[in-house]
Amino acid sequence: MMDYFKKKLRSYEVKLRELLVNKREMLYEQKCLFILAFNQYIEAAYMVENDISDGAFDIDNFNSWLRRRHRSVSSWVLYLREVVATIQFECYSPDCISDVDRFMSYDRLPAMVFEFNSLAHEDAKESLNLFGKATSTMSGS
Amino acid sequence: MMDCSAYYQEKVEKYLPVLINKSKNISSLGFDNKCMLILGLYTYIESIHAFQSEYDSCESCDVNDVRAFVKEEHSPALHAFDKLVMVKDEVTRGCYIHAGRKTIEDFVDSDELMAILTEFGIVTVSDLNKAFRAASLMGGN
Repeated sequence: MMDYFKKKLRSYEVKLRELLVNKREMLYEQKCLFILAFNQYIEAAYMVENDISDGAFDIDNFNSWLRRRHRSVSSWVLYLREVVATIQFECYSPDCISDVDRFMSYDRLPAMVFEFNSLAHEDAKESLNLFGKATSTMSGS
Repeated sequence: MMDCSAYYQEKVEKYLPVLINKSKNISSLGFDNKCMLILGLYTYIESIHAFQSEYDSCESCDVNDVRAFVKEEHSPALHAFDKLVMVKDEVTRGCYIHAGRKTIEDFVDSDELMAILTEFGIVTVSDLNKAFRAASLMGGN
């Protein structure tokens, strides 16, 4: 089970990075999947770091882990989880469309991505730095 | 107090054109669109059930309630509905891991998806015949 979450973490890391690079050109469906995948990534990071080998997800433990290890972004992760719930239940309703768009343009999103990428793997941190350099070069700054 | 019947009616009306549009050419849908088709299809069935049952609460109904509705009113699609529920969980829990992706792709290519789409009037038998004819012409048969 632990291998499963480690594998999941790695698969999602690659995918999230790939999606983030094209954030501006993302279609609605991709934004939704990015949000679902980001939540999955955080949950997998929680499973791996807490060595939860049976895969049982406990929301109270998850929340206390968030507050303990990721205090600076914990309230934003709760916001992310609200948007996830909206996507799961109302993915094509106008309310969901505006929630998803709002989340994707949320100015805390880069900080959240950085927080979890830097936690999971050192090489992810390196990739994110490369990503930051690439985008700043692209924007000419 | 919110009129939940009107709420679900509106939801059904909004989801249907999106689903019809996505179902027109399933084979050319990208992976993200396939995932959203699955989420949207489940929500559509859930909303039809809630609308027809004239729910007085807008809380999401339990999957067992929806299953009972499908069994009662749309029994030819019951088996396919069970598969849809399973695949919907893959979308929200593992859309970017290899096994999850395969389950999703297989379901979208399956007869089970077609059974649901026809049962709920999203595609008609005539549409399907047209699609099969086009496919066989392309295949040179």
